[in-house]
Amino acid sequence: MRKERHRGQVEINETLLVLFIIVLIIAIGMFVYFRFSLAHVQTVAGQLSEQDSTVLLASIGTLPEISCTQRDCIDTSKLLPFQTLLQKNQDYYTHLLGYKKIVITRLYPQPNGNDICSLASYSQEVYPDTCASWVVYDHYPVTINQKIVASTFVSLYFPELGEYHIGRLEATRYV
Amino acid sequence: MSRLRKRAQSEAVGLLVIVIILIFMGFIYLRFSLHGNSNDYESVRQSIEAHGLLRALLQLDVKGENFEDGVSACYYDAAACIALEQQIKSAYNAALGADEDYKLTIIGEEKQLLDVGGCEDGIVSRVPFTVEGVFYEGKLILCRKV
Repeated sequence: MRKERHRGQVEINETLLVLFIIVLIIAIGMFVYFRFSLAHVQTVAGQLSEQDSTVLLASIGTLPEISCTQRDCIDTSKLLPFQTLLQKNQDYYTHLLGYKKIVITRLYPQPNGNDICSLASYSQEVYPDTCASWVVYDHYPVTINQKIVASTFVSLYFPELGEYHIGRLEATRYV
Repeated sequence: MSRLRKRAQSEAVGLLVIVIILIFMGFIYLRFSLHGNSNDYESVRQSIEAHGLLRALLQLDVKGENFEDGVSACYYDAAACIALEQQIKSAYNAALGADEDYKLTIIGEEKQLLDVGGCEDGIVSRVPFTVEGVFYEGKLILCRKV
């Protein structure tokens, strides 16, 4: 009787130990699963940011505020008025574009200077010889953790000269 | 007999637990193996870049010299292709980075007019255009320099 009771206790202890190990293995498995899930969510967030940048690159050149009316190009004479329009309709454009910086740079023919185009440079006789880039939009958050940059090439139309040049449109997304 | 039955039950429970753990691990493996590595947006962006560069070149018009007119002149007179080739080289050297390369091919009515650059493989963009009733196609390949 005593021997059987002792054997029963041993078997109960064995069962408890096995159950404990099983629960431990399941707990470790769940921990690993949720860690990988979290990493996957972060990857998806990164992919969505890339998707957003890609869509922006494809669509920014078609914004009627800056695009040419007849050809697939950007009308540089609209860029400076667009900056004024941005200030007047800040809420609309920050909602539309979010935390980004959009810069258009002249590449070819190469400009004679590296100035950022402004109203002051526009009124000069040498325009657009010396101005090399336009900061079309710049809205940044209080803290910037990461900058994701995407760019493409665009055709730039200079109505003052009647010429089409090659430029680069760069969109920096603030995360 | 009772003892043997209890042992058999214990063995069966143990086997069941192992099967459950294996299924659980298989589920975790499937969960993460089915998510492929996505570089889709990178290639889409490169395609947009190549297309934008080719379109910008074809629309190039500096000091009264229109690129498409230059292509048309090259089609009728091979000597005009030299100036066009030079313009392409200047434009792409200014536009591309030091680690980027290109290959631009222009075909007019199935006749190859120009073949400039060193890329053999990369992101390809094609843009057809017509000048004075003649059909042309521009093909640009962008790649990284080796």
